[in-house]
Amino acid sequence: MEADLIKILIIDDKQENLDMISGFFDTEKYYVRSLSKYEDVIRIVGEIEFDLILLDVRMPVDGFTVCNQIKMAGKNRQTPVIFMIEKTDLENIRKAFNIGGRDVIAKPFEIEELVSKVSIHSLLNIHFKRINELMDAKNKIYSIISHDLRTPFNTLIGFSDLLIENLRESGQFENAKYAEIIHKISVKNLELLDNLLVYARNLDSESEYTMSKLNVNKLLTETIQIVQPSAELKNISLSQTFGPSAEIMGVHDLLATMLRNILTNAIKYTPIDGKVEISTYVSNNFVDIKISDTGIGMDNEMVNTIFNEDKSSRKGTSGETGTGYGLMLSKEIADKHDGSISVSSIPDKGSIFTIKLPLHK
Amino acid sequence: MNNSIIIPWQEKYETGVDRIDFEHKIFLELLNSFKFAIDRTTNKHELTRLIIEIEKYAEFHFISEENFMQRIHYPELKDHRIEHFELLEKFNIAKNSNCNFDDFYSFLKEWFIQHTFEEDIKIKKYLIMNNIDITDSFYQIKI
Repeated sequence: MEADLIKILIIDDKQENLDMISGFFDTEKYYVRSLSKYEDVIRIVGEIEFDLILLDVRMPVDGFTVCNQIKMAGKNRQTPVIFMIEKTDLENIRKAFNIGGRDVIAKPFEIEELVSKVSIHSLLNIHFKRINELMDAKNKIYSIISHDLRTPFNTLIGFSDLLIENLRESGQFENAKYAEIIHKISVKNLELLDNLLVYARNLDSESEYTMSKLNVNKLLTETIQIVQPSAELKNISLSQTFGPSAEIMGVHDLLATMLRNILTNAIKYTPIDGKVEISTYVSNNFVDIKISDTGIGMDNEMVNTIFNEDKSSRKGTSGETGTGYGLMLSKEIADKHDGSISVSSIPDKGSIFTIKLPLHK
Repeated sequence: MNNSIIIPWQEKYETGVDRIDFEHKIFLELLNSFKFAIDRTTNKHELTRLIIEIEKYAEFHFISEENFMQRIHYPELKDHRIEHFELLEKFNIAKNSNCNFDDFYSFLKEWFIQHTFEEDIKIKKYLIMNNIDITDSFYQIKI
């Protein structure tokens, strides 16, 4: 049996029906198994996984019972079943659909109708199975990335940090520079990995993230703590002006990623000794989070494309590199929360990012 | 020539139920039209459409007949329905198994005579034996 043949099983108690129907299928494309005895059916469906089953209803053991037995055997639990029923057997035609038959071929049929239905439903099933396999493979890759690939970065970052310190203390400034490069690249790659993981999961099933009630000021405070060290490196002050406590419904990890991305950007594009201001205020049914910087700003063209997928990243004021995914991802996260994200900017003066999120009622 | 012989309606086909006899007559007319067409043309498309015409009428007539049987509580309804299913299944094989139109006609002719004469006629016996008056339970077509 060749692997790329479409495997179909035809079940009918009348041999002349089996002979006729199996003759409709091109053997270059189909592997056809025709069975007339109940015992043979039960044995074969336990051995071979078919892409489609054509099942006659009016048999000594009726087709619906046979169908149940097939599904219970396990191997063909997902295999679509098309029932063959006489046109005037209205009750069974209705029943066939009600018990989950994929389709019905009413006898007398047209050959083209039968062949076409078999072809469509078997191919749909094959593609469905293929998609599931790909999803499984993808999930495996995600888990490898998030566990095995991610963890070593923390070691790299930690030890390179220690190395920089030690080298500086012992006056080896040239070598400390090399260690700094290792450190920077490690931080950047970890950031990229994290963003890609969040992005990929975000595209995935909605159920992976659950919404919960979140306090915006608290979320911001958490995020500011994370980016504080990189601001200190450039002697950038992070000032906070929080309005009244605001609560929203959201996915904690996604919103934290979004805020971290915007804050990291603000620091990245602000020169040494600059300022980044974070403020919140509540208006109507929304909470606004404003992050403004005294950075290098952007021209109009850049403002217009900043959230696009296909733009490239530009270097920060201390040569920091990026991936270009951060803002695109942030916009998707804001959209997912029925919010928005906007930017205004003046070259060489700075940028203001405003995130608007609906308040929890 | 044998070709031109049509099947005439015969008294022995009569079930005594006007409505059913009426439908059987139409069925016979359809068979004769099919035969008439076979002798006149070899146009496959035209002959295939006539087969579909017969098929649709058979479908209608079977349900019609089963509805009537249900109304008079005909005890053999279940078996009779199976006969109908079997006939449709045979029709299916004949239609889709590369047989030529003449063979298909012969098959239908036998099917009609056998089924009407042997099965449908049982209805007549049932009505007589049980002294069932169908005037109240069934609208009699008057054409």
